[in-house]
Amino acid sequence: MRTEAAAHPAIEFRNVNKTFADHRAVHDLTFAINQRELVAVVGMTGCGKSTAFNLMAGLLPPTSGEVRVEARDPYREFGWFRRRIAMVFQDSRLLPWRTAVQNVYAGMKFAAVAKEEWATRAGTWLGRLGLADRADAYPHELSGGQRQRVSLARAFAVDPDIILCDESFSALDEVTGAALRQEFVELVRDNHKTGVVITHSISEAFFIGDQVLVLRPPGHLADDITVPADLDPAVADELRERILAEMSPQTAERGEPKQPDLQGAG
Amino acid sequence: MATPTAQASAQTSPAPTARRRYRDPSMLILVAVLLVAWAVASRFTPAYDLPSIPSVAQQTAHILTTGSTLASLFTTLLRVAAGLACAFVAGTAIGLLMGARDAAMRYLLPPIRFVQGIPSLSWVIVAVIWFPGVETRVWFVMVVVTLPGFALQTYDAYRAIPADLRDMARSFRPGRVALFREITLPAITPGIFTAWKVNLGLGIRMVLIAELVGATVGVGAQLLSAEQLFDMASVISWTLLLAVCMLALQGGIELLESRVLRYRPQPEAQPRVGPATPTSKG
Repeated sequence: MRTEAAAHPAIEFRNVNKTFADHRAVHDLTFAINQRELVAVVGMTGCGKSTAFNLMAGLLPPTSGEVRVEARDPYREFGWFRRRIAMVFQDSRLLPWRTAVQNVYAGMKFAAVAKEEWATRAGTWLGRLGLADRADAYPHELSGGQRQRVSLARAFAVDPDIILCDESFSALDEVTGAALRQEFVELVRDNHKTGVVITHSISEAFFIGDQVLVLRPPGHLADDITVPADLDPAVADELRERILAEMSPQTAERGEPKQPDLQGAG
Repeated sequence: MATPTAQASAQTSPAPTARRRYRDPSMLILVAVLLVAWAVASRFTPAYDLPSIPSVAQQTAHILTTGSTLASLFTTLLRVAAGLACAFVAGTAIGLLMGARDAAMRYLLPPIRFVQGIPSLSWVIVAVIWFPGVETRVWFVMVVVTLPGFALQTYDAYRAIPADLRDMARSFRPGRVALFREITLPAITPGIFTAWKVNLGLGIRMVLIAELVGATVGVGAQLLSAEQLFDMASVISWTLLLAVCMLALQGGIELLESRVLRYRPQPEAQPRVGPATPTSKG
């Protein structure tokens, strides 16, 4: 595990634009995420969150501007980020032909982790995520929450510096999603990782993030909020209203009712 | 780490449908009815049209215990195996190439579809004209008839690999070998099994036709000889032996398939359809 702090931000976007044919997905996006921070990126559907996510991961090149992860270009230096970035997707994306433990192995195999470490690491992470007794189950034999736990174990097992989650908890029911969010936050903090979670849920963004980046279509930074460690419910409501207004000005003008699920945040 | 889950999986596995199939007497009843019908019909027809069951059994025993006839059976099976093996290797490679490279697909897919559309008998005639040697003829016909099936099944399976899984793998920055072994190969395996099952029947039919034209050894040659002698007992014996061999090979492939693809969810046993149960309204 790499624990020494670096001088540069973990992730930095400088005036990044991304256009697909005639569609502008990201426009002049600028932000920085510090090392070992947990950051939530929140925005409406279609606001460019997933494009920004793919740009961070180096899966897409920017049309213009600069994307820097660990002070390097994640697209051009794609191979350098092997074992440094891991991703968790909205759906678990487990290989149906592999058992839970073999799926964790597969991640390590893709990331070229030494084979002699596979069993120990897979055992450790499946154990931490409460799946030690389901290691030999195939994905179709697991519940949605268990499958997502396996995908978290697969990501953590390669011991990356940065973990990117794309709405990884949104497809789960409320109880399972909340439990998994809690586990994810603890795992990222305990293991000194930098975590970026893309979400469309403001509640989830507050719960997870030390910092919340608010995106507005087309992929433009509307706000960059530092979340207090002990978030007061009243402040949370205020922030929530602010984010709603920034995400969708029309929504704020209509004055839609506040949702009570922020009470437990922070 | 393995045992508790294996036990849990075993507990949750569906009803043993295979065991139930063995208890099902319908197949036995069907065979018995056919045998009885054959026995009755053979009493009223000449032996060159429909020989009796004992004469066919005697002929089958003769084939299985005589070195030269047994060699014919093995020669035919060997030709099937050689042709299918070559078609499998080449077809799978072509299918993968077409799936991985659009340019290859543009150049290879139309000719493969064209070859597949040519009637098999035409290939037999072409092979007779082109190749003087019997083995080359049979091998050529086998390969050219079964290769498109392997290539197209592999190509379709490759194209059906979910983009989500590729993206997931790509996010770990994998090497080509790891990607092939963990994603591509398992994803195309069901298609390859399907191609084997389809091509096995096709291959046996084709090898028989190819052997009928010019071969001196093999089941096809034996059938031709029996036809010229009006020896219907031999025709039936050879046909039955070949059918049994094909069923055994199909069974072997299905057994291997069920082992390799054991990750697939087992279909739930269908409840028996019976008369509607009256429901009480209180």
